Amino acid sequence: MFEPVTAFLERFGNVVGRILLTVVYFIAVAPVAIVYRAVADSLMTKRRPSSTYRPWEQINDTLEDARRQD
Amino acid sequence: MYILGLSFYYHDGSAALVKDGVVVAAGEEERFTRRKHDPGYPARAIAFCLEHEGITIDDVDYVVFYEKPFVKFERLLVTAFQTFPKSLRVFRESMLAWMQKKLWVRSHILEKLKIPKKKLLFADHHMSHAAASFFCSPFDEAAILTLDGAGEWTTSTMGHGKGTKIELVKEMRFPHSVGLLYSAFTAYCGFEVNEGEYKLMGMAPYGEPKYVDRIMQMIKIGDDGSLWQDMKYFAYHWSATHSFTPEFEKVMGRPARDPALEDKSLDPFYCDVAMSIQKVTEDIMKKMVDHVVSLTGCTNVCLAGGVALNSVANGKLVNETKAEQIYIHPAAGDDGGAAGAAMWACHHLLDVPRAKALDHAYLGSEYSDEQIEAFLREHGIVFEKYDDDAAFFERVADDLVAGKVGGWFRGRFEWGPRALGARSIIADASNPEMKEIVNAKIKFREAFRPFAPSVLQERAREWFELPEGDELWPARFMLYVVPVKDDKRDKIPAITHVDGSGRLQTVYADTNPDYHRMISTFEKKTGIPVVLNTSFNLKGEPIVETPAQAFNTFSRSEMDVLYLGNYVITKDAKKIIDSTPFHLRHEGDRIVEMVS
Ligand SMILES: [Fe+2]
Repeated sequence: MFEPVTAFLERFGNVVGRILLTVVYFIAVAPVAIVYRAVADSLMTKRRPSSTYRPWEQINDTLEDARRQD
Repeated sequence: MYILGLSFYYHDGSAALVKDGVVVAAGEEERFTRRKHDPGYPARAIAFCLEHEGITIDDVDYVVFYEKPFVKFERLLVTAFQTFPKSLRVFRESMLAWMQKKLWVRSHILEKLKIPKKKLLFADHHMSHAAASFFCSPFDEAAILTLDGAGEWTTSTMGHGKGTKIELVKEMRFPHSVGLLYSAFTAYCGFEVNEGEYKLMGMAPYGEPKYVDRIMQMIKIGDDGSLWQDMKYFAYHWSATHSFTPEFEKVMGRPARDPALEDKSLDPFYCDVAMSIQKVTEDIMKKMVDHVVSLTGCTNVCLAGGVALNSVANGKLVNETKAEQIYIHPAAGDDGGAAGAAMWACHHLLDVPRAKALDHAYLGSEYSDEQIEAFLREHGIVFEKYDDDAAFFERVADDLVAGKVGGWFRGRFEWGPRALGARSIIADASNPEMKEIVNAKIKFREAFRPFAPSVLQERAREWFELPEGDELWPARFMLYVVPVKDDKRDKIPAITHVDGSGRLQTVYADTNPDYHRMISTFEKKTGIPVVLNTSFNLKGEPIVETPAQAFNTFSRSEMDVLYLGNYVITKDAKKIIDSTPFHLRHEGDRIVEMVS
């Protein structure tokens, strides 16, 4: 009996979420992104190195490291 | 020591349980929930793993998630910044998914499993791939190559495994990705991404590699196999729905193939494109394998990641690179990440000594004769039971010789995407019409896709062109496509593809004795040590798990006979058991789901 209600709330939440995220995108993301885009090439779209392999730098070799999500 | 590995909220949700360095149980959630590629939290797969060992979660020493969620989240943000303002939709859709679920992986696991925080660990996505392959391999030391669509940032690594340690040396990063490149061509050729890649591979032999130069206009391949893609041709890093741009279509010379066509027309142009991207992928993989062999000095190579499911490319590596032996985890994709994460913690972190190699994929649930009989009796299904195994195998072989198509349900189900003689549909491979029969009446799938052969291991070299000296590990898991011997092609037409190749599964008496014995019995009658083997499901349905699901799928198709253990059920007993869930999913993933 609650299913239609939950489904409605979920859909409603998703719509609101999408609107909010659109606002966030143009208000909060935009200024950072415009600067970021100008200085960084994190996706290597501009540079073309002779090899796209780079050293593996992640450190995750102890239980302590492994408890982290980053 | 018990370690539970988990992968979910991306591709197939899965759980794998490792006991003292051995994978003792593993399964994809889809098999239990009956939702194909179910990416959700694998509650039922976990319950199965624990039940199988007769333990509770309190007996588990560590739970390991197969990737680092925050690193992936960072990649999504950075990508959205870098592709602003085109990235609006993908930002919105992926953030929504992350806010609702993916960011809370840690609390979801803690809450659901009720384990102390210190027991929960996180592996790197590609380390999980690497560990799944290396720690399950027979090699004490090996070169490791991982390749997939994308992990957190990583899309490929090269590394070195020795004993209980893995050292990843280098990585390639998103958006430059062999997996995503292949998926872009999958979409261009009119198939769904994360679903249609096998179709593209199956279509390739109908074409010629005419368009390699056009593909090369959009990418660069380094001597080490590293890939650089000119991203003006690709859209998967900023689009929620498209993996390539109109410029891509311009370079290829024709618009994308209409997905509505499905398999209805095999336009030679797209077959040529399929063959061209297959050649490019093979070229990349060969260069990478050669490089990782030089880098590590090891000719034993462990492959992992979704691209390692490209069995056509795999079949060429030993002959055409410096690799001498290859091992691939049976679940090479992200499902296998669950096993890899657990193996990584077990060996690399905790230094538990290595155990014997994973030489089979039978890690799923099984049902006893009593359970099967109880099911049949409860539903009043007429059956015939064979108490004598020899008589049963005779019966099966006779049925196959008579041209019948059978559902074969026996033992523990297979880990990974392939049916390997535990949940298989079997038929006579020597019958020239069998491919059409199985396609049209049972699998309802693309007519151009080939079926696979299961061959007795001791006969494999008589029937297939296999690299000298290769121990053929990937063939145990149906991960090698190789030529069928010239003089044998017309003897097993149902499994010989248009280019004379076959995706063989070698069947070993010590890992699947019953399946081996059934094929041996068939060989005695026909002289052919090969049967056609395709997964026990309908198109869009996960492979069956229980006797009830097997019976329903049998009833919904035009299969002639069903073998549940030693119980034989014939056509006239068909009916649908309504209480058994059944759901078909034909669509693949959206682009946003593929990359986030
Ligand atoms: Fe992966």
